[in-house]
This record gives sequence, C-alpha cells and structure tokens, in this order.
Amino acid sequence: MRLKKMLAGLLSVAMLVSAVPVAVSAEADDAITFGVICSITGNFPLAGENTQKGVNLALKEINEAGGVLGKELKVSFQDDQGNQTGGMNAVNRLISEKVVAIIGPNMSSNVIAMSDVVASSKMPTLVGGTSPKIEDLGNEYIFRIRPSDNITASAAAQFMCEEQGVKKLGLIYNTDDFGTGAKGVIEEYLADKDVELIAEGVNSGDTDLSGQITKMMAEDVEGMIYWGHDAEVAILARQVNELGLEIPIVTSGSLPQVVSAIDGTYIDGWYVALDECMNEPRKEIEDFVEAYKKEYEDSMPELYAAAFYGATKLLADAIERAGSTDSEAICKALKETKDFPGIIGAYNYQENHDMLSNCSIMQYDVDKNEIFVSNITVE
Amino acid sequence: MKENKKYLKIFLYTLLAIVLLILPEIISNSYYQLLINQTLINAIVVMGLNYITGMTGQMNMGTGGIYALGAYGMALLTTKTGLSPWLGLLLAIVLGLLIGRGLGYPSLRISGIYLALTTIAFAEVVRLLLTNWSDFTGGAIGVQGIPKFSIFGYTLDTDQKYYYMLLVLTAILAITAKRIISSKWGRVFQSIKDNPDAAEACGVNIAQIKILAFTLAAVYGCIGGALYSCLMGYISSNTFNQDLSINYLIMMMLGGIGSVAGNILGAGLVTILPEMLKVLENYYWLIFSIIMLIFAIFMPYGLVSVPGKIMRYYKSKKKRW
Amino acid sequence: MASQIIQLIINGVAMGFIYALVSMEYTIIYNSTGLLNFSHDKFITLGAYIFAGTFVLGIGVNPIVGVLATIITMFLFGVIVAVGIFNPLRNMPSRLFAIMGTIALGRIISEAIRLIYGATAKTVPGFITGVYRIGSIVISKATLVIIGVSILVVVILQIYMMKTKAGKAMRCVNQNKTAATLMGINVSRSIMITIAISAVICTIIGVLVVPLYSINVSMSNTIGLKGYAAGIIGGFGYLPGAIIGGLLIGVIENLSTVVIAPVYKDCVSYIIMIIVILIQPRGLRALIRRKK
Repeated sequence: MRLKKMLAGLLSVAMLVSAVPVAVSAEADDAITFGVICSITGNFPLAGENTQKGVNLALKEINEAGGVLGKELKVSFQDDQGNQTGGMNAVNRLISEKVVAIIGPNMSSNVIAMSDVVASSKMPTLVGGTSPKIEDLGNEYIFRIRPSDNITASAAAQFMCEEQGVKKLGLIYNTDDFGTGAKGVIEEYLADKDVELIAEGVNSGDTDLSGQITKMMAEDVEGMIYWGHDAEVAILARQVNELGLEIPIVTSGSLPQVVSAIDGTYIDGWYVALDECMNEPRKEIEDFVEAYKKEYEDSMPELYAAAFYGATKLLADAIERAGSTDSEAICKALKETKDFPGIIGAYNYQENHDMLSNCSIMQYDVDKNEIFVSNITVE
Repeated sequence: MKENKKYLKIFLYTLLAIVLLILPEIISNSYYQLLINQTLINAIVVMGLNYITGMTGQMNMGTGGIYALGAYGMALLTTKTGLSPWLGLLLAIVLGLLIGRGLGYPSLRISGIYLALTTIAFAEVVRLLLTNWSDFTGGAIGVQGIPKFSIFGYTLDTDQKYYYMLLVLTAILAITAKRIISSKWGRVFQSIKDNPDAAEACGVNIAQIKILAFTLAAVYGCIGGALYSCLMGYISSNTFNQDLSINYLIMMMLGGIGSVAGNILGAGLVTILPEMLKVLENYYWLIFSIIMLIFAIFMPYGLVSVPGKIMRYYKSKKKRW
Repeated sequence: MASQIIQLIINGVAMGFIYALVSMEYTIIYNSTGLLNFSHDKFITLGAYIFAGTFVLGIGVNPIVGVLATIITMFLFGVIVAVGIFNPLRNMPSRLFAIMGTIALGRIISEAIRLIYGATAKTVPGFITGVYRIGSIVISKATLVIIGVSILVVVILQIYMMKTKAGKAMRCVNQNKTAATLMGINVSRSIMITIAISAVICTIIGVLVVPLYSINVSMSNTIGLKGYAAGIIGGFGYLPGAIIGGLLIGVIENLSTVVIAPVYKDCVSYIIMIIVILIQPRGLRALIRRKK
C-alpha cells in the first residue's frame, strides 16, 4: 500500500518537473515578444476580449509597417482569471518567457499585487489599472497608459459642479478598489466647495439597486455620479428610469461596456466620464475607428481596445527609440515620451508615472449615439 | 521479496527527498517556483479539508472563508503592528482553533446539504465583510507590504528560499496528517462518515470528534492562508471567492479522497494543470473543466487510485497466465 | 417614507418570486435524486443566452416563439444532462462526487457560453419594458410579469404533480425509490423528466430576468445562492415552503436597506439562512407541520 503512495508521490514530482519543457522560449532571434495580461476567463471576460482585439490590430499594423528594430513584433497573451493568483502566475510566466515588456493588467489590485515582481525583474510594464493607489507604489517600471481615477472622477465631479451647477451631489460607488478610490477623489475635490455629497455603496453582483436609488430620491440630490462596474450600471439605468429619478447622471467608463445591453430610453441624456469618446473629431481616433471596423466586421471599438491599441503602439515606438530591447533602455525611452499620439490622448510622461492627464465627457442620446461633450484636463 | 520491497521503499523515499531538495535548482525559473510554492500551500489547505470532507464526510464548501481569515489575520497583524510573521502564523493557528469550533458546532445539528450551504454562506459573508469593511481590511484595494519570514535574522526574501520553509512545514503537516489518519482518530473519523449511528453505539463521542475534525481543518486552512499572504506580499478580497472554495474540493477529489498523498497530488494537479493547458489559449478553462467532469464520473477516487487499478489489472492478468 | 417602504416591498416581492422559482427548480431535482444541482445557476444563464442570443437576436424570431423554442431546447438539454451526468452520479458511493460533477458541469456551461456567444453583455431591446405609476409608487411591467408567470408555473407544477400519472410517479420516486421500482415505475425515466422540467423552470427564470439584468456570464450567480437561502428558510425539499421562503428573503433583504447600508443586503440573506439552519433546520416546514 505504502509503495503505491510513494509511487504516487514520485509521479507528482515527475509531473512538476515535466512541466518545465512546456516553457516556450520567447527569445527567438527574428522576433521581439512582449506580454499582455488580461482577463480572458473569470468575471470580467469582456475587457480581456477587447484588449486582445486592440492589441492584435496594433500588432498587425506595426508588423505590416516593417516591425520593430527590423524584427517582427510578437505577443504572448496571458489570462489573469480576474484574480490575484492568476495575475501573479501570469506575470511570472511572462518574465520566465523573457518577454521584453508587459502590457496590462487593467485590474488595479492585480497591478499592486505584481508591483514587486515587476520591479525586481526590471520589467517595463504598461498598466491599465486606474486606481490612484498605483502611483503611490512609486514603482520605476510601471507606466500607466490610462487616466487615473483621480483624473476621471475629479473630471466627473468638476463637470457636475461647474457645468451642471449641482449643489447637492449623489454618488453611488462600487465598494471595491475602483469605486472607493473614486469616492476619495470626489470627496477631496468637493472639500473646498459648497457642495453636499450623499454617498451610497453597491457590491459587485448586486441585482437590485432600488435601495440606493430611493435613498438618493429621498435626499433630493440634484445630480448623481455612478462609479462602478458593468453589470450593476445596466441595472441602475433601468431602475433609475422605473423609479423616475430625473437628474443629470455621470457614470464611470463602465456604461459604454454594456450599452448594447441597455434600452436606449433608459440612458437618454446620461453622461459618461471616460478616457476617450470614439466620436471625438480627432484624426488619430478617426483612423483607428476605421481600421478597427475594417478588421472586426464593422464593430465599433471601445475603451479597452482603444487604450491597449495605443499602448501597443507606444511600446513599439519606445523600443524603436531605445534602439534595443534592454529593459532599462525601454524604460528610459518611455520616460522620454512626449506628445505621443495615442488613441485616448497624447501620452506625456509625468513624475507619478502616469502617461495621461486628460479625459473626456460624452453623452448618450436615445439612439445610444455617443456625443462628444468636452475634454477635461485635470491638474 | 519483502526485503526487496523495503529497500525499494527506502530508495524511493531518498530519491523523493533529493528531488524535492534540489527542485529549485532544477527549475531555476521564477514562474515554476511560484507555482510550486502555491502547490505546497494548497496541499496544506487540502490536507485540512481532507479531515472534514474526505475522512469525516462532512461537506465543507467554505474553505475559501477559512483561508481568507488566515490570510487577513497574518496580513493585518504584520502590517498594522509591525510584528514578526511568526506571530502572524501563531495568530492564524489561534484563528483556526476558533473558526474550527465555530463551524464545528453547527455540524453537530446539521449535515449533508445543510452543512454545505451553511459553509457556503459562511465563506460568502466573510468575503462580503472583508470587501466592505474597508477601513479595517483595506477592502478591495487590499493589504500591501506583508513582510517575509526571517529565521535567525536570515530573511527568506526570494521564492526559492521560501520554498524550503514551505517544504518543511508541508512535510511536518503531511506527516501529522498521515499519523492522525492511520491512528485511532482516523478510523473514528471514517466511522462517522460510514455509519454515525454504529459509531455512537460503539461509544464514540461524535460531537467531540466532529469538532476535532473541523478544528484540524480550520487550523490547516488558516496556516495555508497565512503562508499565502506572505508568499504574495499583497492580498485583496476578490481572491477569496466561491471559486476558491470549490477549487480546494476539486483538488481533493482529483488527487484522491482520504489520502494524504492524493491531497498533495491533487493540489499540484489543479495548481499546475490549468497553467500547462494555457497553450490551448481560449479553450484551456473549458478543457480543464471537462477533465474535471470526466474525473468526477469515471475516476471518483482520483489519481491515487490509478496505480492500484493498474496493479490489480496486472495481477489479474498474471493469474490468468 | 411610507411610499419608499411600499416601493421596496414591491421590488422585494418580484425578486422574491425569482428566488422562489430558483428554489423550486433545484428542489424538485433534490427530491427525486437526492442530489443538489450546483450548476443550476448556469442552467438559468444558458436559458437566457439561448433565448436572447440564439433565437431572438440570432434567428430573429418573435420573443414569444423564442420562449417556446428555448423551452423545448432546454427540455432536451435537461434530458441529455440527466442521462449523461445525473444518472451515473446518482449511483456514486458518496455525495461529494455528485457535487463535484455538477460543479464541473456548471463550469463547462459557463465557459461554453463565453466561447459561443462571446463576452459582450446582451439584452433583448423592448422586451417587457415600461412602468405603471400609482402616486409616487412605480411598478414596472417586468415586476407584474414575473409575479404572474411565477404563480402560473407554481400552479401548473402542482397540477402536474397531483393529477398526472407521470407527476404521481415523480412523487413516488421522491418518497421511496425501491418501492417505486417494485411498483413498476421506471425510476430513471422519472428522474430524467424531473431534470428536464427543472431545466425548463431555469429557462423561465432566465427569460424573466432578461428585462431586469443584462445577459452576461455571471448574471445568475447571486440569485443562485439566494435561491438556496430561500429553500433553507422554507424547509428544504418542501415546495410551498420554497415559495414562502423566497418571498420572505426578497422582502426582508430589500427592507433591510432602510436600516443598514445596502452593501450588506446580501449578508442579511445569508445570515438569516445560517440562523434558520442553526435554530430550526427544517425551516418553515416545521412550523406548518406542527400546526397540523
């Protein structure tokens, strides 16, 4: 009997060791490989799918234009399953594959989790996590290619107070890092202003927000900000309409993710504060939208596709400018980035490792058209 | 023949020990090192789960909650007070004792599906509290800067060094588990699973034994959680969801219920197999789930039952010859 | 304040009926096989996707035809699952294997959905939308439809179980499989039909929640768990209790938002469930039976 179990134990070790040859040697001579971490499975698969589309399109264009440093640019996608363990495994796998740089993840908690590994392996990492906590890390190898929540949330509050003249502001925020981070920023923005804030939390996975909405109605708020995720914003839109709350509403970038799933009458006149509106009359965006539609059967690109398309282009440009795939050289090139025309804005390196400091406000009409409202730069 | 077997066994043990000791040198790759460290931690948790669900037959689907409390106990103690992780480990053990009692008492009144649902609800409440009580737990932003263990001033700052500590702990806990399982207690555990009434008639104090099983499980689970939080150096509440609890059950089942070797094997399989399957890209999780279903239906006693089956097959062939 | 409370109760009743249907759907499987279907929430999601993704948005049929077509598809799916998975699992030596089996099935379904339909959330535009207003109280059409359809499902199921031969066989199987076999009832077939009916109820739930949520892979995770809580409170395996339990949970958790922060709403249901288990595991069933 014991012998059998010993055999089983040996088998397990053999299995562990045999896992080694699965490692794909990324460092081929004729190609430069970078890694992308995104949520392919798990609770946020949509972001991962769009990230892949954006990166693949950028990759195709770069390689058609002759690649980087005369070599072909390749990508290795890794799934973080939307959780921390998955994220850590993904980043370690990419490091062991010896990729030149990493793009992603877009979950802030995963960015924080992998910060130490990234720093100790000196891996240039272009992250999409928007939590203000990321700049507190002070990690020399992490560059943020999307506007921080500090910027979008502050812009949303600024828009509500200055352009809508709201004196009593409601806030429904997700209780995770995304929502609570924004809550802090909005509180800070309102600190020296004569505006009252009524804040209510919502959990990921909640299926009924009528409690929060009734609270807002009871408090007679004049305008409302929603800062949370996709599934809940769809419910919010329906219930706000059913309960008859008729005030200006600004949501986080989650609304566009589910707009296909929401009845147009629900969100008529709603505002969204997000990285970029795909209808802004700007040349880079128009070119990108056209290329994207051509590649993906006429579907309109969204935030993640645009952000990570831009990030891929930025990375390629940085490698080209660095003249090598050495990590320090790439980081140096990234730090020298000035007015690089990304899709969601011009990339400029800042002291806090943010590459962007502006975001857009857009509005939906009843036919779910996205109307560009304004572009707000936050100091 | 018997002498031969004995020597073979010693040889296999030595080989196993040598392989385990030089493993970091063989792989020398941070990614595999991380996976192996996770495997060891998961093995500890699964060995704990084995006491309740594998041996005593009480359905526990809230391992994620136990694990989370161990992890947060360690993380909050070390980051808020600056105390050594060793005290964090101690705290995890104390927490384990408390949780074991807390979860053990309901199991005296209820069993089967009721217990399964209670433990699910327990894990879900823990997760919701950790997420929402953000002033204390850091909420979904999590806890950063969890320190590494150090032994006599020598800090285990890399995954390789941490591996040896995990290896020692896993070995100690595995030997303990094996001892318990093959002792009187182990047979009593099993008797509760097979026929509680008969066990009680034989003078077994069922209440005491059930609570003991739960306590052992919770202590192992909390130790696992505490070690995990030191491995990662950062934890956030979205890690400890329902899927995690279920993953531990899967590990136990794929490896082999009731067997320590099976637990370790299952932990390795579930931690490493999905990563290996990633070559299938978009389809890897689907394929992994299908493998699980096939196991559940055709190989319910897991991988450890395979060598036995093969041996039996050969023996029956030999006889026919 | 009064109107706010009435509002919360109305929304609570609608969610309560959803929970009640969920708890009915797994209770009938539990009664006939002794197995808890841990993939039941995925059945609901699958029903919603087949209805919206394949029939209404894909083929472009009228929603009512779509509902019927989905029910037929899911009935067949239920039969296949019963034969391929539940029958072998039912005869396993330990419940644990069966639980693992259904969990694995759930993961397969949700991954298959992601691969087939993509990750983009869907909705059926204009499907049961609109509201009625009475004073300051708002009742959405979806709420009324949910309540109406749920009552209809309950009544039909009751008639089926009490009046038809197959339904009676189903109840016999619930009570004593050996005796049922001796009486010439085909237990396997009865179980097959039960699981298929359960799949149909799941479909109905999936279609009913389409106007409430967007259709996505994790849409039914929460209602799946709440359904368990409803079942426990009502008394496990007891159908009328399941309905009352569902309504109670729906109303109580909504009303709790008046007193405590809405984020702890989910905790309320689970804690009620744990308390009920600890004090009286048989739930409301114990109260009702005692009166008799």
